[in-house]
Parts: sequence; C-alpha cells; structure tokens
Amino acid sequence: MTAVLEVEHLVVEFPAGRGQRVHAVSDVSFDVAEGETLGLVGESGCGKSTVARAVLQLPRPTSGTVRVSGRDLTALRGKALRAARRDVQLVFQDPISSLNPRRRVTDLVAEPLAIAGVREARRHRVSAALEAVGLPPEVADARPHQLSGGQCQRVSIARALVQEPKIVICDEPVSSLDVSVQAQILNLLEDMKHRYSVSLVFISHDLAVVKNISDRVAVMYLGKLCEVAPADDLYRSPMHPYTRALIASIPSAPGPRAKLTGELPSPLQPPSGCRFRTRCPLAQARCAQEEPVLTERQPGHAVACHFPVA
Amino acid sequence: MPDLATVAPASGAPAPDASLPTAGRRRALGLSFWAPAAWIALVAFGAAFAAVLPLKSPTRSDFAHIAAVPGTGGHLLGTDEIGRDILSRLVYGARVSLTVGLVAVAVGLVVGGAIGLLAGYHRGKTETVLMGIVDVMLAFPALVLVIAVTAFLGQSLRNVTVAVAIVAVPAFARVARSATISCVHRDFVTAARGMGATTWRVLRREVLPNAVLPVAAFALVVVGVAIIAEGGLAFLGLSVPPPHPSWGSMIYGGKNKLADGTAPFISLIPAGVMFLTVLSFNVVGDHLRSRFDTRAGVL
Amino acid sequence: MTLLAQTALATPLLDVRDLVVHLRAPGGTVRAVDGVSFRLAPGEVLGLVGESGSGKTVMARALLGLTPRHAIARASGEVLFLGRDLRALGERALRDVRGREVAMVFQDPMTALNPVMTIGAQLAEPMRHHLGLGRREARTRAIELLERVGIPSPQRRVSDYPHHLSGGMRQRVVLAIALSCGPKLLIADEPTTALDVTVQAQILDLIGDLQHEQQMAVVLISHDLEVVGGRADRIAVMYAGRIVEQAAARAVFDAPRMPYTEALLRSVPRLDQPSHTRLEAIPGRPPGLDAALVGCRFAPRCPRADDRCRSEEPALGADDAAPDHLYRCWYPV
Repeated sequence: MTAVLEVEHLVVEFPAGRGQRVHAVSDVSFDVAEGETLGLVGESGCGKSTVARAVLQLPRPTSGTVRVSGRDLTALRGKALRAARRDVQLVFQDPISSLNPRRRVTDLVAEPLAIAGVREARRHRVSAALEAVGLPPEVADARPHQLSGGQCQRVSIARALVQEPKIVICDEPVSSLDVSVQAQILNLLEDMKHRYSVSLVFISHDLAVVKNISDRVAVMYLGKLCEVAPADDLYRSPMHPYTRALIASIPSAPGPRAKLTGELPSPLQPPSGCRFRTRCPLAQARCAQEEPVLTERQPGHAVACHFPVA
Repeated sequence: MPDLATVAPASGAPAPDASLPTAGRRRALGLSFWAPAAWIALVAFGAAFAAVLPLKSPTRSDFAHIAAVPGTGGHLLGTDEIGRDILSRLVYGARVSLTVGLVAVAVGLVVGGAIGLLAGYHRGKTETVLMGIVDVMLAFPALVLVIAVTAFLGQSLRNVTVAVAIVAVPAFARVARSATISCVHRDFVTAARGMGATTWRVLRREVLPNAVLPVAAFALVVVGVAIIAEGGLAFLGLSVPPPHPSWGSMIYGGKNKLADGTAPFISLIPAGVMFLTVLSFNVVGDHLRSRFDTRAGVL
Repeated sequence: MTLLAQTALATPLLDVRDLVVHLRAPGGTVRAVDGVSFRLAPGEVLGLVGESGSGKTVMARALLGLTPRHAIARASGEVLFLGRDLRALGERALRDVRGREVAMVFQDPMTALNPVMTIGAQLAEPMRHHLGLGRREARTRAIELLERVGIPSPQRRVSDYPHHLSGGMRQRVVLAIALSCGPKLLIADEPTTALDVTVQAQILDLIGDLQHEQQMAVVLISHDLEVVGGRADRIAVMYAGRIVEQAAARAVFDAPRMPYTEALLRSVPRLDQPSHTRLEAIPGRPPGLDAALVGCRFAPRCPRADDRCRSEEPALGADDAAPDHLYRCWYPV
C-alpha cells in the first residue's frame, strides 16, 4: 500500500535558556497509508501537537524527514515548500481562534484557493465545500464570532478540504466542543474522508474518541512512541504499561482502576533509557540503561518496551 | 426558512447545522458618542475653514477693547491681553492643535506600527535590534528631545509636528509589537502559513487587520496627549512663533491676568476648549474600541 | 447515603427550590437558570451533568451567591442550606458560610490560585479567617492538608508558588484549600476538565476518598456523563436551564427516561464499541436562552417530539412504580 505520509526519525527540540533544551519530540517515525486514519494519542507534554506542526514545517524540525507522497518537505524551501504545503492541511483545536475574526466565512474557506492562485470555479468550489460540511448558504457571510463552536469547526474542515489535500492532520478537533456536537463532527470527518479520499491523522487525548475514528493508533509519551497498533487491537490487548494505565484511567473502563502515580518528568531532562520507567510498575534495571526500540511483537502491533505485557 | 435542525440526515450526508446564533445586538450609539463626535467635527470644521469664516483677525489688536469680557464690543468670546479676538484665535489655533495631534500621531502610527509589526512577527534578532532602538528612544526624556529638535530645526508648525511624532514612534512600536505577538500566537496565523501563504500575505491579511485594532484605540488616546503636548510646548515658547495663535500660547499669554484675577477667561477659555477636545477624542476612542472588539462574546 | 435514607430525612443538607437566575446580556436577558430544584442529603454525592449553555455553571455560582450583582437581571427561588436560605443572607453572613460550611472548587487550576501568594499562605487564609488559627498552627495544619491530598514533600512545597506546580498538583492544592475548614458541602464545578485523563482519575479518586472520610456532601458538576457516572449516588441532567432528569446514577445509565439523556449516552464514543462505529449524533444545537421558550426545550432536536411537546412544556414528574426517578417528558423512553 502506498504511504501518503512517511515520517522518519523526527526530532524537535527547542532551546530553553541556560543551555538547556526541551526535547519535545525524540526520534519518532510512522507512516500513514492512503485512505487510512492514524490516531495519535497521549497526554499533555507528550509532543503530539509538536509532531503535527513539525510535519508542516511550522517550525522546522531539528532533524528527520517528512515525505508527503514521496516528496521530502524538510528539503524544500520557499516557493516549493509553500506549494507542497497544499497537500497537508491542519485542523486546529480551538475552532474560534483558528479563524481570522475579521473575515467572512466565504473568504476564509476561499483562502487556500486564493493563495494557490486558483481563479476559476473558486466560488463554486467554496460553496460545494460549505455544503459538504453541512453548513447552509446563509452562513457564508457571517463572521466567526457569530457562529457556534461546532459551526466554526465545520468551517475549518471545509477550509482544509477545499484544496483536496492528500492528508489532513486534526489536532484535537473536538476537544473544545460539547459532547453532542462532538459526535456530529466525528461523523462529519468520517464522511469527508470517504468523499474526498483523504488520509487523516487524528490527534487527541481522548482515547474513546480516537478509537472510534482511527484505523491504527499510536501512543506517545514524553516525545517518544510507546505503542502502535490497529485500533481494536490496541484497546483489546495493550502491551505497553503506559497504554494500559491510560486505558484504565478512563472513567467508563471496565476492570480495576490501575492508578498511574507520580508526575510527568521534565522534558528538559527526560529519564535515561525508557522515559516511562519512573512511573512504570514493571520497571527494572535494564529500563534505565537501555532505551527500548519500537519493535513489532504481533502482526501490525509494535511496542517500545523491554517487558511488554503479553 | 426551513428548519434544517430537525431534518433527519440522509444516510451518508452529514447532519446539517443551520441556525445562526443571534449575534449580540450592538448597543446603539447614544449621546455619549455623538456629543463628543459633534464637538470634534466642529473643531475640525473651524480649523479647516478658518479663512472663509466671518471671523475677526486673529493677529490684529483692537486697542479699544483690551482684555474685554466675552460679549463686549462685538467680540463673542472677548479679547486677550493685547486686544486680539479670542474666538478667532481659538479657531486658528485649532489648526495647530489638530495638525500636531492628527499628523504627528499618524506618522507615529505608521512608522512605529511598522517597526512593532516587524519586531513582533519575526522575533529573534530582528526584534532585539528594533526594540533596542525603541527602548533608547523611550529612555530619552521627551521634553529634552523636543526642545533639542525645535532648537535645531527652528520653530514652525512642521517642526513641532516632527518633534511630537518622534516621541510618539517608540510608544506605538511597543503597542504594535505586543498586539502583533498576541495575534501571531493564534491558530489562524499558523493556518495561513500552513496553507502556503507568503510572509507578506500573512502580515497583510491575517496579522495587520487584527493587530490594528488595539493600536488604533491607542492612537486616539495619543491624539489627546499630543494636543496637550503641543499646548505645553507652546506655553514654553517652543511651538509656532507669535503672532500665530496656538491654544498653548494663548494660555501662556493670559497667565498674568489669570494670576491677578482680572481677566481669567483669557487663559481659561482656551484651556477649556483644549480640555473638551482631548476628552472628546478619548470618549470617541472608547466607543469605537468597544464596538470593534469582536472578542467580546455574547453570553 | 442511599436514596432511601435521603428521602427519610426530615431536613436535607441542601434544598434548592425553584432557583431562577436570569442574566443581563448585550441583546437582552439570558435565562441561564430557569427553575431548578433539587435536594441533597448529608454525605451524598449528586452529579450534575449538562453541556455548555445548560446553565450548570451559573447555577453553581448562584448557590453561593457568587454571581456578580450587576449581571443579574432577575433572580428568585430559595437555596436552603441546613434550613437557612442562603439567598436571603447578607454579604457578611454569606462570607461566613463560604469556605467554612460550603466550599467550592473551580475548573481551571491555573487561575484558581493567586500567582503571587505562596501555597502555604493561600491554604492558611481560610483557616485563619474562619477558625481563628494562629500563624504557626495554620502552617502546621496546611502541611497536614498537603500531605492528605497527596502532595509529596509538603514541608518544602508549602513555601512554593503556584507556578512551581503542575496542573494536577494545583488542583490538589485547590482541594486542600476547599477542605481546610471541614465544610459539610463541596461544590466541584468541572474539577477535572482541564486535566489529563490519568490525572483526572487521581483527582476524582481523591475527592471520593475525602468525601467518605469527612462525610461531606458533594455536588459534582461536569459535561461528561462518564466522569460523573462512577462517582455519584444520584445524577441530575440539566438542559437549557432546567433539570430534565433526576435519578439514582445507575438508573440514569441503564434506563434513562428522558430522550435527551438517552441520546447523550448514545452519542458518546465508547471503548467497548469497535472502531468506526457510526455515532448517533443529536442534530442541531441547544437552544439560545435569550427568549422565552415554548413547549419542551428539547423538542426541536427530539426524534419523538410531536405537537404537544412543542406547545406544552412537561413538568418534572415520575412514574408511580419508580417515584425517585424524575423526568420531564410527555413520551419518555
């Protein structure tokens, strides 16, 4: 299967004053196949949002390659990069702040086309996109502050899709929405995926939401990938202790609640070896000395752990 | 309008989201806006058409009526300490005040705003260098700077305007920079860059329209400050040279008669006019700011 | 405390009767809380569930008189705490109740703490004011409280400032402050919404432990039914300013009567569903609260609605067979 997005050895570090560096993303590699939805899950500070922006080169990653349909974005500059960006679009968490409050909806959705210099059929494509996301024509002249959160998110999605990109990265797109609106937007994303034949990367901290929409799920902790597996497999038989703790923390999860203790270590000085070892109930000496590598333990199911739970 | 909200979605079609929530109805502009706006319009009108209005000469003295009380001898607002008509001097003086107020602020806005915009968008070295220059300018005592400028360039309306503009630039740079920074952080700027927009396009279409609001609100307040600044300079004899009238120099001229209580109106009338004008600019600025602040959400 | 025991009690701890709070807004008035009534027995946990716009936050603040005066267009009803109407109390008397007998915990731990005061000082403040403790005594007690809420090295932490702590830690401190004077009632307004899921579980467990230990009643407010589900004795569901269903927690999950509750339960993705399960989204949006609403407020979005629903609002009632399960619907599930 052809891979639409190939991320290899992505590293993103920020200087943090006094010679220290924030290790936001450390050597993350993953693929997204054509027509696939990859869920990226983790708690705050794991680096999932940084991954999303690094893929778009906003800001440029410290090292690593990002290939979209074979073209390496990290090697592109200026005009070529701007042209390549059209294939990867981003939908943000806060629907209202991701739209310019001084512009009307039609202008917002038309913006990608205007930037690309597309003149013909612009109005038609914009109204087709608005209709596809379930917004009536009356909304076209409104400004973002006149719309609800759910409607703003639909506008964001229309804007992302109007250029028919290859892949759309959704960074916590439903986290600020009401529960009843979440379901509408999740269904909408599924529909759009089929209608426009795009691949999705769906980033969220909400495990149930991620499971619902994803084909495969990747779990991140403190800048590293812990586990990657098909959605149903991951939740049915999680192998990494962090994944197990995450699933057990969900209020509606069946079974005894395995509380995750301790605090997230600082990304300025991540623990040696396995970064999760400071909070892992199964940690041993080896975990501090040797960093586990993401290896496939079962078909399609990879874990980065020395002692994965069978 | 068909109530789309109740229509069950057809299979495959996304559930539509039809209704527009009622946008908060903006409070109608009342007297508190129109009264000061009318005053500003009046002052501006007077300043613009001073030459064609039926006014007495602002520079010729009427020796029959020195320090005349308002209403006597055909002088609606009286005469000053050497017999010149106060009303016409007010109107001609408005030219000076408004020119300095509006032009100096406009220059400060454009130059300072551009500096702040670039510093706030690019950050890093650009910001350090630009804001360093701004900080140096701000650290300079404004009064000394203005005195130096006028001493160097000479006294004229143009030079006073330049001097006040120079002092206004760093203030605008700082405000513009912080407005830009708070704008650049927001997702829609990242979204624009993610869509492949050039830096110039992002600045022009995304950052500028949003950053300009707090800067414009600030500008209206600075107009008031600039008018007072000119008044102070005129009082010190650093503004337009006599016999050209200016509100500040009128206040200065009447100070003796104010001190001994014989004709306080000579100073108080221009002071009152200056007060009303500055107050009007502030109030109008407040109204416009609250009207265009789209982030004030409806409950 | 069981539902049965609660109904047997003569004086409930908290008895809210027909609380109405209408707020001023640029376009008119917003009927944020439009007639809410419920009771709480000592030591009971009531889960209050509602989406944004349901009025739950406005109601939480109104209980303690924390709504800003100038924003209130109209307010009526009674909030009886141990028989005393909190709404009728003057500001000074209310201040004695706040923090001492009724404590409140808010959503955002980042802004709930004063950034320029140490943790210790903020902990000590209510104790010194309400209980009259001296400075040293208050500090000792503060360290004990920090330990109780699970903050490691409390002696060191007591001199820290809020920005030294993570979100989860801050929320623990906020809880400690709330409990410092041993209140009988804790109102927790979305206490875990801003926190990560693993930290959420810790904080909810902590609230549960403290509730048992101190026999404290809790009003747990959330937009997330799941969060409230495992922790509450009873659940009340709010929609458009009114309570539309109120019953024992299990009953609300297993057999909801109100179509809104049922639709809400069905629209949330669940871990036991396979991936790509189509969610049953509720069409439309909750109604704006700026106009008087006619008929059942959920009718525009309800699949079972008919003309009667649209013209006549149902009252909160129950079946004879289950008198403790209240719902507001003509055609219950």
